[in-house]
Amino acid sequence: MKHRRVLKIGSLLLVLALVFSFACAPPGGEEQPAPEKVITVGLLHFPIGLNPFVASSHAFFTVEWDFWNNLYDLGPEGTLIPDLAKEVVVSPDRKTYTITIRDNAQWQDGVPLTAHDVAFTYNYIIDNEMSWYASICECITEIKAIDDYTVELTLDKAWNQEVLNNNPLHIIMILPQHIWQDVTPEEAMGKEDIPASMLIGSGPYQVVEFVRDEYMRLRVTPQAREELGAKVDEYIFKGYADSSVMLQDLIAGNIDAVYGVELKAIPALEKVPEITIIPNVPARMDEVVFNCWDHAYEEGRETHPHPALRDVRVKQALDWAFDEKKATKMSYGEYGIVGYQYLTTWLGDFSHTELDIRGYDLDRARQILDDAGYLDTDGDGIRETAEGQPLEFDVWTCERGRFHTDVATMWAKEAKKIGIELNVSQMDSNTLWSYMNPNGEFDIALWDWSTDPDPWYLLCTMLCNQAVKGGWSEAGYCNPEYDRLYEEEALAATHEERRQLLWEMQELLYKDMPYINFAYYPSDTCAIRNDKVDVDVKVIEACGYGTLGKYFILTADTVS
Amino acid sequence: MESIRSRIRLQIYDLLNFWRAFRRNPLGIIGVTILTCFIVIAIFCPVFSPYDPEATVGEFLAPASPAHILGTDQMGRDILSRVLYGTRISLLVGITAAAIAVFIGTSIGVVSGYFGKAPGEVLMRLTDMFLVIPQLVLMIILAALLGRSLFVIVMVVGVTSWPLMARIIRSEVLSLKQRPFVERATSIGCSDFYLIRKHILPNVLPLITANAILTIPWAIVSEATLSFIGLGDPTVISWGSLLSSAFNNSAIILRLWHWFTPPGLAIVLLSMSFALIGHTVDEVLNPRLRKQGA
Amino acid sequence: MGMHKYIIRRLIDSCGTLFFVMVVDFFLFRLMPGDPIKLLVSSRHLPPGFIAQLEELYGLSRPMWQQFFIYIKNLFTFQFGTSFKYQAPATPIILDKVGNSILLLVVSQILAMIIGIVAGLVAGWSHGKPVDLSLVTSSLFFWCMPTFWIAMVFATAFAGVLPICGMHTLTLYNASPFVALLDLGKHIMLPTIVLTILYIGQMLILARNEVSNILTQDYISTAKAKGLAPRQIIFRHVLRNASLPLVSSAGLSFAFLVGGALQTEIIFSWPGIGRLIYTATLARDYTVLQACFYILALSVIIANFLTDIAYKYLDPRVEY
Repeated sequence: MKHRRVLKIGSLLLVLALVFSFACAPPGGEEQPAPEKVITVGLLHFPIGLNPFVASSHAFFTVEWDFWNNLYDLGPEGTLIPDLAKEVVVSPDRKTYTITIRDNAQWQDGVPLTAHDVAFTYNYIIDNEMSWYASICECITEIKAIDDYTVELTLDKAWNQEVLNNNPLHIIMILPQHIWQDVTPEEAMGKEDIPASMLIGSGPYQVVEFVRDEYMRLRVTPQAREELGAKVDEYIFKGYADSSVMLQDLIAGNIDAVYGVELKAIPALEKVPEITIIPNVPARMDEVVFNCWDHAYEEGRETHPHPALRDVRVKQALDWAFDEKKATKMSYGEYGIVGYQYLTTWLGDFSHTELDIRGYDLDRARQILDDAGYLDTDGDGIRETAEGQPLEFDVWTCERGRFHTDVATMWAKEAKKIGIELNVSQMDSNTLWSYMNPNGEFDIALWDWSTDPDPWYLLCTMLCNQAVKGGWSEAGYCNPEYDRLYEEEALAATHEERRQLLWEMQELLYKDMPYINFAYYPSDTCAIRNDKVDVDVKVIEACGYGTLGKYFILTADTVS
Repeated sequence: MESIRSRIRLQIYDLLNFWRAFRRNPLGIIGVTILTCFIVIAIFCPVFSPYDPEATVGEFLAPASPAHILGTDQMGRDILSRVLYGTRISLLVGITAAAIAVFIGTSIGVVSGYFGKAPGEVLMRLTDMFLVIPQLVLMIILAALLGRSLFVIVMVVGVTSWPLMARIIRSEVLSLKQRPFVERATSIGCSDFYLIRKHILPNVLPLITANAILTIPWAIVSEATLSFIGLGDPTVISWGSLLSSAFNNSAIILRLWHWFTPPGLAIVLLSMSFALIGHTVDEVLNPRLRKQGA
Repeated sequence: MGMHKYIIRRLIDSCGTLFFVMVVDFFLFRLMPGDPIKLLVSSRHLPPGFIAQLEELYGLSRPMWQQFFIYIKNLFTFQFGTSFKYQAPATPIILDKVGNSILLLVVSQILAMIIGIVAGLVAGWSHGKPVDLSLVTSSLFFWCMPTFWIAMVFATAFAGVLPICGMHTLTLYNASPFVALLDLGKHIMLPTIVLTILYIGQMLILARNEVSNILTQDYISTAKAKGLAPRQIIFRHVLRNASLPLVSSAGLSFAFLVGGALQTEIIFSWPGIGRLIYTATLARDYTVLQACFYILALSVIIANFLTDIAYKYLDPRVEY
């Protein structure tokens, strides 16, 4: 009968589904003994891939960063300490560095790590212009291995030692020469994905399995266990697509830790006694960007900034109408720091704390506009320029800042009260960037940056030579005085000298107003379940970015 | 004069008959009641709302309290007021997007069904192709390309929802074309346009109505889904943007039920009212034996 | 028309539809405001080798019609280019995930069809009575629910009871196939329940309407007059004829289900193509979006084709 045929087809489909699911079962792999101590960490922004030259996502600096070693790295107190570099001798003219590498470093395949690997890595990057890493190494004219454990570095100028330690000597990860000398630059830049089997690092763990967006299995090396005291066998980083679901799993105890906790959710997590929050440094900052571009760089495009935005008094008035405290509280609750200067408070005494702050004062704002001659001549509530053009600006935000649109909306309400109209709209970050750089086809935007422990790289976004196509500048700011100070601070002889110059630069920025800074906040707060993981939270907390990285892996233990 | 008056009388008579049949269906009555409530809310929300939905009137993320029955959101705005005002946008989006879909779908369905052969085949092929593409995926891609504004959402939802209507109407028009009165009309020499206007369209009207009403809930839910994906318009007050803000601000983890439950329920209820009405309209206009039992 | 001829005609049909899909896929991303492909190439800090590669793959400097043929050729050979976000070939990225989505979709669809037919039968049998009304109301209720919302509620409610992330328990080492299958079953349970709930809404009403229609037919009264018990009527006549339209609509509503699956995959971090589309949308990875669009349309075309063949097999009377 026909209905029997229906049943037959139905059962056939079910069998197919079963067979299918067998096929979808996890890869068996080698039958190794199950690891005893495993910690599972939830992750929202999963690393793009395993290729160190391609991974530009923030996740790279969390996990993969510690896969390799650097000459200098962040220590357990959050300060830069020598890692591979045992001893550094600087020549009197500060242009030659003789670095002695420690002799106990080893690649995960047993080959010893030598100065040849160090020289090879830097030359590989410089000679093949490997993306932004090459721009950090521009100061190096020559680097060579004098013997197996000594590297000689020659610079083009007498750079400030802090700048050098924090940038080319810290950010560049050392690669194994015996592996990477066979990798062509095309392969390295992502034509083919680098397989897990090829990744040999020198750090405390090895990537044994990497399934994109799903999970990553890291096995702690025997060397790390024997020599460095690591106790855990395996780390699993599990990729989640939704933050709330990930935190829900943490609360339910299905995972042991989370990397990247949504700041607003912390009050709920604090209520759970089994969860410990590990705060992170306020390395990220939010800012309002004003269009400072003076011409378009691409054919057929036009910079058309509102003329009133060239008048710093209008920008000052807008700053007085912007409530930085409220914006920070609304976006980040108790975990945001209100800030007005360009360098975040994480940078210690480099951060200018004595600026004459423009806070929130609507009367002051109105006064400035009145004095500057921007009056509401036609009675519609919006002021006009002397030529009659209304003070109406577009404010664009993107998804990079989760709360930027809210901040902008709040600001628009205040601006209305002083007679300025702000039209807020949101777009995706690529589109917004393409409007900003390099043609300056915008009025006002909201953007964010994160900083390294040294401000050298962050400060370059305000240079004239970055206000070009493909550069880092989104505001299009160009001030020769700023450029001059930038060069000077990079060559400063002492820390105090540098600090004074950095303060001068921040004053300049505060005066010219390419930005309104408002919030500094941590971007990668973590949380662990203290009933599953045993670790000294104080040590991890001090580590700076990459909280669940090297020191976590070396010191954590599971609770039985 | 006479004929127009009698025509109007006939149409009113038809409508009354329709309403009488409709009224007998309890689901339809429930649907109409719920919809009426929502329409009243949409019109009178300034009266019902305790606060200005855009104004910061309380602490950020305040819990439910007598002052704020549904608490406040991340900017300190009263959630109850925002839910009430959200009715307007949701109704607007639902009806406009459905209207666009109906217009495009009917035009293509009628033209493709009536004119047959080459143009009909091509249009049918086009419709089939659109039906093969998952609607949500096409909406996501279009919204991602066109930007985040309410206008884009309405256009995107409307433009992706017409194929089903076109297909249904086309098959109906095809079967209508076989009917004797069409042959008779063509034999007298009536123009195509006249035929379509006088005979085809009135006869597909019941089908159009039922389907149009059922497209509205799809539009309302789609707007919410697009907002959740991150492609909605964050500057308007809609239930979709309310839900999206709630999720963005960890309302689930903070157990702020009062924030993410009401908009969701509102979406379901409003959609359901349209669905119940549409279902009843379908029952009335395409009757099957009503009193059926074992 | 014989089965063979029918299959061939449906095959030609499907190919035609597929071609149309390719055309739309090509123009969708080129004619949009700002030509996103060009925009992406110019706005990112892309390494020079990458740009050359894009040029080779897309032929961006050549005239539009040449680009079109290059594109068609690539689609046929499943060469989807390089993902902007992952900076790795897009094809393996996508093909890895498709299977996971299909598993979820097929299981949910079958479950929903079975429940939908049974419930629709009950509803249609007692047309107009309270049972029918409540079943219709609940099914419309589920159809009107935003999938992501109900998925989020489920994920929150069942977090401690059932797995809410991914397809496998990662700490399950050296598991036997049976244990692995059980683990998969646990992981698929919540997403399937959510998808089935969404889908039952459609299936139930469809089945119910069909059943009502059938019950008005003459041969049913004949059967009753012959003295057949209700159960025999159901199984011999109603079920067989009612399931046919469901089978034929299953292919098309596959497209509808994909939308629901996309949201479910996001909430439950199910590693399927829906989640891939979501992350690609956030990153504006147009290469991957183009390819996913094509793959999904292809899957629906294949699903349609299979259900049409199945329909013909069940009911040979159908004409092309």
